[in-house]
Amino acid sequence: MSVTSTRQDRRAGRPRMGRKILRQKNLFFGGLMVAIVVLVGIVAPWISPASPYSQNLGIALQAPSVAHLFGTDQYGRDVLARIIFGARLSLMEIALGVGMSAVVGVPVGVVSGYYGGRVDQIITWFLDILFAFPGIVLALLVVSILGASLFNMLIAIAVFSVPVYGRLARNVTLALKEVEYTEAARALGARAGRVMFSHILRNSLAPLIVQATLSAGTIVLTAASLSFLGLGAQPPTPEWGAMVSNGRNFLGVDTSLSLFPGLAITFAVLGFNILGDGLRDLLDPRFRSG
Amino acid sequence: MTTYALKKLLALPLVVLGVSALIFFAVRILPGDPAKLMAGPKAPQSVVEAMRVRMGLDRPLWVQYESFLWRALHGDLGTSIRSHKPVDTEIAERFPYTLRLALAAYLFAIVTGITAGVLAAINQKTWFDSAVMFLAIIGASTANFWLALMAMNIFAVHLGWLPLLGAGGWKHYVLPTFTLGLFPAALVARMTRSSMLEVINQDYIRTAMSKGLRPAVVYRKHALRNALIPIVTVVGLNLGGLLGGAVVTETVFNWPGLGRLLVNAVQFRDYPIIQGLTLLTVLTVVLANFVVDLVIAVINPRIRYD
Repeated sequence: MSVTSTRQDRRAGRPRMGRKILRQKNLFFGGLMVAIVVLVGIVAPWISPASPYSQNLGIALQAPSVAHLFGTDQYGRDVLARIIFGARLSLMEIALGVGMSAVVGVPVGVVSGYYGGRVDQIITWFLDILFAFPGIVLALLVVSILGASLFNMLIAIAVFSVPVYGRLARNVTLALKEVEYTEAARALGARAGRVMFSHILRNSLAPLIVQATLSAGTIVLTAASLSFLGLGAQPPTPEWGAMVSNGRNFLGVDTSLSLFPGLAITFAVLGFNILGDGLRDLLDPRFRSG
Repeated sequence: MTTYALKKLLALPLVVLGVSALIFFAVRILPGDPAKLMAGPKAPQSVVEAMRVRMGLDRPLWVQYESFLWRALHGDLGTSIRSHKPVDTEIAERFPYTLRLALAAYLFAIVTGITAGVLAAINQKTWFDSAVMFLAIIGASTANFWLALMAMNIFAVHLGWLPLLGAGGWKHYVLPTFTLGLFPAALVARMTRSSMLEVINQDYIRTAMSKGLRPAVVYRKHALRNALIPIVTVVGLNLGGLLGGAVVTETVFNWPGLGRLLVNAVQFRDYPIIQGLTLLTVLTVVLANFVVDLVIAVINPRIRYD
């Protein structure tokens, strides 16, 4: 693509982008689903029918009814209230999981790609080592060292997400460091730090945003899996995976205890996956269809 | 090609060394004194000290790492703190269960994924295509432990068609295979569809069609064969994900495999098992990735071996 055509595209970019967003069903539905999860998480205390922690053994294990739309658990806690507050927890998991891994992975990847040579070899070697671990196995190793808790689980998730961001940032940097405006910045005397973080990083945001959206779904799934195994959020935290695990004890007696939190997981992950697909189509030129 | 394979092969020991060092030193940070754990809670101090010397924990850390590597290379991965059995025996006892489950799940994923993906691609933009893609994205977004519980509830608890827990005859494989295989099946279906769509619009497919060949032959022999590379990549590189999924699936179904062994070991801080099992899992993944790289290089001569 020539410089001129890039400029033309950019000039005509805004109306085109608007039409594209409207045309893309993925962006619309994915965005809507994610917006619902985010909104529920934010307004949880105001829309929740009850406290997610308040117990009342008198109404334990009730089937879904008008008073308790998703029923109650063995302590008489309202399942809907716990799912609503679970959305808040999932958002926190995503924010911390994506945040921690991107804060470590992206600068490491940019430095690796920018300097190349020995630095790149060592960083790539280290990323390859982390990459060789299946995510949940690495998370189990980290949790076994730090102990089972919500925060330690998030550290574990961040550790296995670091190489994803590292490799992506490295590849984008490799491409961007040869681009004319980066060379121009260098020629004007800009320091390496400035070139890396204000020219290269700023222009690699699109693929990083796509990655963050796609990994949000993975984070929700992994966090739920670890909590289900009893190695993440501990009772009585209203975490979706832990709630499914609790419902496991009442299989055949009261399925709704596992059913609804599991549906919540699928809804949230589906939303992030569809939105991620849509964003990739929109932002990543390799997936653009004319 | 040989240079490429050799280059890849030479890079392997470096990654293996790094992985083993990471696991070894990570496990050494574990809270609790391994000698005390091994000797038992009521053992007197002298026994604990003797155990420490026997386990080599009194030696410098790098000497311990060296000896760990040396013994691991000879198949000695230490002794389980919980069962007092050698780690390699524990792993060997459970390995066949995980292997059989993983193979069944892979087979399920490949057969359903490729079939659904090909059918979706040749019926592009029809209701069938949309349905397959919708199911695939749902499959990739569903927590496998939840799916397992729901399937157990329907087919084992209510209908009584399939056994609820444990390993045994073929009926025991149905639910765990479906649970473990759904995620890779969804990935394979999506990849097969997009890969087939790229190939189907090529000139040589049009030529084959206009020669009067039956569409089934064209799709199978001309299109699918050329669409295979990304599919092989997805299938091969997903081995790690499958092994990770086995951890959860085996726990839900009380399947006596390696995944459950790992979860139990983490819960009881049985560090020799965690160390040995993690090392073996990662080595399997690294080797599988190496083989996938080679297979891709063989089936796609366009890949430059730089």
